[in-house]
Amino acid sequence: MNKQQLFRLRKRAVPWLLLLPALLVMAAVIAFPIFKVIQYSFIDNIFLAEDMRFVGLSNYVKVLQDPRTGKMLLFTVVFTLGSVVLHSALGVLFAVLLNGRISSRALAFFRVLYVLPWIFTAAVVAITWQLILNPQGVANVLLSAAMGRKVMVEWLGKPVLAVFSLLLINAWRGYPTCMVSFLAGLQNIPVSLYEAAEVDGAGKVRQFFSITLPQLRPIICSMAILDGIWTMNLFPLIWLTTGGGPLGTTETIATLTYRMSFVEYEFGRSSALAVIGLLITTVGIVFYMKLQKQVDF
Amino acid sequence: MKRDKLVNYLLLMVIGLFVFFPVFWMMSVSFRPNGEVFGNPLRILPATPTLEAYQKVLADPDILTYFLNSYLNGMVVTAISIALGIMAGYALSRYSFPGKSLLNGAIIATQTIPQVTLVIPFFILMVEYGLYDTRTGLVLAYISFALPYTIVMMVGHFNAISPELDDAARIDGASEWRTLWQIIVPVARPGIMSAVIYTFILAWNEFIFATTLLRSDELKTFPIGIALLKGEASFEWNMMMAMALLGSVPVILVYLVGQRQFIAGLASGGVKG
Repeated sequence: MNKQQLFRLRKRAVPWLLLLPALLVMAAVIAFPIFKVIQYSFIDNIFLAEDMRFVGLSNYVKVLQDPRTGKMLLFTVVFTLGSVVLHSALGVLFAVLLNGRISSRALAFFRVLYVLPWIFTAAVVAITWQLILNPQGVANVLLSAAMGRKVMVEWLGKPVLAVFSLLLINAWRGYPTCMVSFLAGLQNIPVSLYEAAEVDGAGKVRQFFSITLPQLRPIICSMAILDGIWTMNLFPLIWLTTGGGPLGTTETIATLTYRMSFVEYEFGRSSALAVIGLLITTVGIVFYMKLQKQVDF
Repeated sequence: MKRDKLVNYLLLMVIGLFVFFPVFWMMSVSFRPNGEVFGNPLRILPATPTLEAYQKVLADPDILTYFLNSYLNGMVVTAISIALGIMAGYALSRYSFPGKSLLNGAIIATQTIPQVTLVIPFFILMVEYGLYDTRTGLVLAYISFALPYTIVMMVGHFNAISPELDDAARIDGASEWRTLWQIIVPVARPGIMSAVIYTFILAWNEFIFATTLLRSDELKTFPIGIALLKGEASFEWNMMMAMALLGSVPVILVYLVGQRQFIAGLASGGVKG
């Protein structure tokens, strides 16, 4: 091998050498566990069974026949769609307000204020809202004062109300990521568009619907996909507020997978459900990347 | 025009009150004796303000251990992920090689792998390999979400730095390795800082791995600790709120300090909720 070939080989090896440590670690902590969970999903309860018996699709069949699955799917869909809609709507509204004609000092202040919910860890958010929504808590006290009579709503204790409450809690906690992305998007809309609209006599509302929203659409769509994936997989926020209850009405795919594994120790079934969740997520991320390609290039 | 501005401010303030209320309530409850948490009538501000809850939290050695564990894990996870992320990010930003776009896509995709999917094999494998209930095991689990995130962030930040800088360094005879660490990394420092802050917060917030992969009290982290406090029958809400604030304030301060870089990073480098 002559010197030039050696040089070229070294040059070609450089990116791989730089990537090597990260790739090795990711193979160990991501690829290998994913491979294992897929394997577990075809084995009769890996953790308890002495013989690791291959059982084909039986874990999947059991999961799909589980009486909780239907309810879980319904709530997962309602919660995910509801959260995404709320996050997008609040995110756009707040981003537009923050992008309005306010002083830079006020902007710095309000931006921190409006990002605040996102900085608290999910466990803290869950416990704080439990306190607020306690039957004797401040939410009911304020509601009683507003209605002029004593009310004691069990926000987290009644099926439909618990769904509503979780949507509220997650709306509060989750909109900031959307808002920050939309704010960045708003700053990229050419001012000339608005100036032209103003000359044409379009009002603020009209400008919002015919300029702001269409311009933000790509960001809103890609954020909605990401947000949907995150919401579907949200665990501590639900586990520590309703725990999937009452009567399983707030069970999501994430909490049911956790329950099957670490409460019921049915690892074969939980692995099957985990793989189903992974497949749904993969479909989402493929959509996301297709969208990103259209936006970026 | 003037009226628009006024309406804008007014809306920001009124909605801001609603957004801030839960945080205000945490503070308000943390400064009361536990008897006043649901008192009748319930006051918005504490009737007899006291630091009792904070004293109790800070005097509890278990709770202090939870805080320390969270800081320690956060720092170790961040240091490892950033070091590996800088190298991998540089390779993905500066070189072209076969399979690059596929690799890029795979790394972005790993960011959305549900943690509840990974926690099952983590648990079983760690029991098998003797890593269950160890800090090493937990740190490894955390790297599974921290590393892909730092790589994506670093690719974004390196892409924003002109490749002419690398060329200049190379012409001066610097090796690839030196070019990266002595020329590019110092220039990318703001981006690296925002990746550091964000990675640390991700690790700080983690719940599901810590709750399943640890058993010993002396290894547990802040989110687990606060959930445990709630699990105790006593329901000391004032203490829970004081603990919640003590745990969150440092993170909020870090956020405030790094705010500008942080928001830029959030907007450019890919996000994670």
